Amino acid sequence: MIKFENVSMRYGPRLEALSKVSFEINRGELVFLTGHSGAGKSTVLRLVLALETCSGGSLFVAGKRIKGLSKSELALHRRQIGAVFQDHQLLFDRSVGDNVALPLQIAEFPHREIKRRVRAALDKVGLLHKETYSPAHLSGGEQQRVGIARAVVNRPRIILADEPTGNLDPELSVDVLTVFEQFSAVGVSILIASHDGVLLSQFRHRTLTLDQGRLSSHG
Amino acid sequence: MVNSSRPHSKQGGRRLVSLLAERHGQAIRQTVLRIRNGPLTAGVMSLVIGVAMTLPALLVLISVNLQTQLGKVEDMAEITAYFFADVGDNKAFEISERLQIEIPHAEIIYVSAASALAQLTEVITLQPVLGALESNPLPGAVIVRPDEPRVATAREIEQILVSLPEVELVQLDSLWLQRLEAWLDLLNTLSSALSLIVVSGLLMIIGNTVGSSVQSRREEIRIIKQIGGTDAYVRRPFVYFGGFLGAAGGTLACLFTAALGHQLAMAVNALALHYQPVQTVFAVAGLSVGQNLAIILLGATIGGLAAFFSVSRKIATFNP
Repeated sequence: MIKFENVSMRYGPRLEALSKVSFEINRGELVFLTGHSGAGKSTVLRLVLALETCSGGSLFVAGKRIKGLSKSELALHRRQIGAVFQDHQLLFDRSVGDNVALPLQIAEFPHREIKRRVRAALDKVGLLHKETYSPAHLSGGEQQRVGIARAVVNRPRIILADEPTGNLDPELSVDVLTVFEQFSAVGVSILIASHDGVLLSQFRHRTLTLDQGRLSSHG
Repeated sequence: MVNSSRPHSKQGGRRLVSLLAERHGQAIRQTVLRIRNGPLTAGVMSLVIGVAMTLPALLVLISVNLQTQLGKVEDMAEITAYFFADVGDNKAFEISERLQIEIPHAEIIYVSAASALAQLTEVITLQPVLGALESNPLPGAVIVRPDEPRVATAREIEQILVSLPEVELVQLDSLWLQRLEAWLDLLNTLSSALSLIVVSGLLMIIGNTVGSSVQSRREEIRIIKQIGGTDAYVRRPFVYFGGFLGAAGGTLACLFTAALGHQLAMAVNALALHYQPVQTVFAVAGLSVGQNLAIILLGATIGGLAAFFSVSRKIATFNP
């Protein structure tokens, strides 16, 4: 589903965030991506989302080469990916429900269908009772879960998560990872970037380790 | 096969309609939300647009009224052709009948030599002079009043009349017509130029307002693009917002023009009183429903277009 072939990413002449990284993630596979901060985890996720384009190598998502996609193809490409961002990236002028509804609105789902799916997604992260709240009135952990609900509401083929448990207490972290496991069981490919080694060790999944832009272990 | 495909395509059509309804309903909901969140900005902007649009609308009003007044002075746009003295009454009448067919968009009046003399006799001071005459010295004449008092039309008619062998003299008082037309041309040029200035001004004002609104929503736009929103999706609520500002401004301009038109009517009547103490009431006509609608529609179109270009230019520079 996701295939990196000798992907390099340079910012300027000196800084090489990724250097010749190759790996593949299959359909329905859940993979952890670890490494120190600055090792290139976020860069990998940004490349898959096509928020940036790699400076070397090839990157394929769902069988398509990312480089050379047109503007509208890029939009469609992003719609098949549910992304959980480290800083949540919620819109504070809309309710929690409207935030979760956003990917469905963008994909132009019917009104009634949107309502139903939003409630289902919020229920999954245990925030159904806060549907009408503003995200500003939620704790960091709750905002994180709203972000997760938004990522899964569209039933994407791929889920990318950047430190999805960063703001959660250990118990909730396990819950969230269990939710992700359920999605991978129904065929969604999932890539989770996290440096929480203790948490990851509780789950048995393939782990990719990045060290200064190089893949040091394929798990 | 044919039967099975038919309901399918019908369903597809319905799906397209509901998709479009969903798409634009969503954008309109967003727009309403934005206006509700910042009613002052929307209000002030509408006012600015309204004031700017009032000026050309007022000129249209004046131009429309001048055209109406012009219709009333139509009587003065006469072309008179005098026949040779030896052209008989019957012959002259026959010619005037023929002219009516040749020049359909005009009123043609035949004045015989006898009736011309009779009219002249009504002037009491001339009676002794006329009584001394042995025979009627006046020629027969035909008066042509074109439905439209335009120089070009008058000249055409003049040519027709001159070409008649029975006609001795054609009189066309075209000087005042030419002057009037020149004034009207000036007014029209002025209103076109002003409209052009106002339209480009509006494009800039609305473009700028929407542009700063885009700037303040930079973060939101970035997030929407990150989760797969197309440029069109991002653009839509802004375009509706611009269209709303333009339509609201246009509506205000209609109200201002109506109020100013009323004031104008009073001023014109006061002025007319100095010229004709007997008093003729000039009814200054307001803009028609169609013209008002056109102004509102024009405002909405300008607003939507300005927003479209402004947003497109801005979001092209945003990276998700």
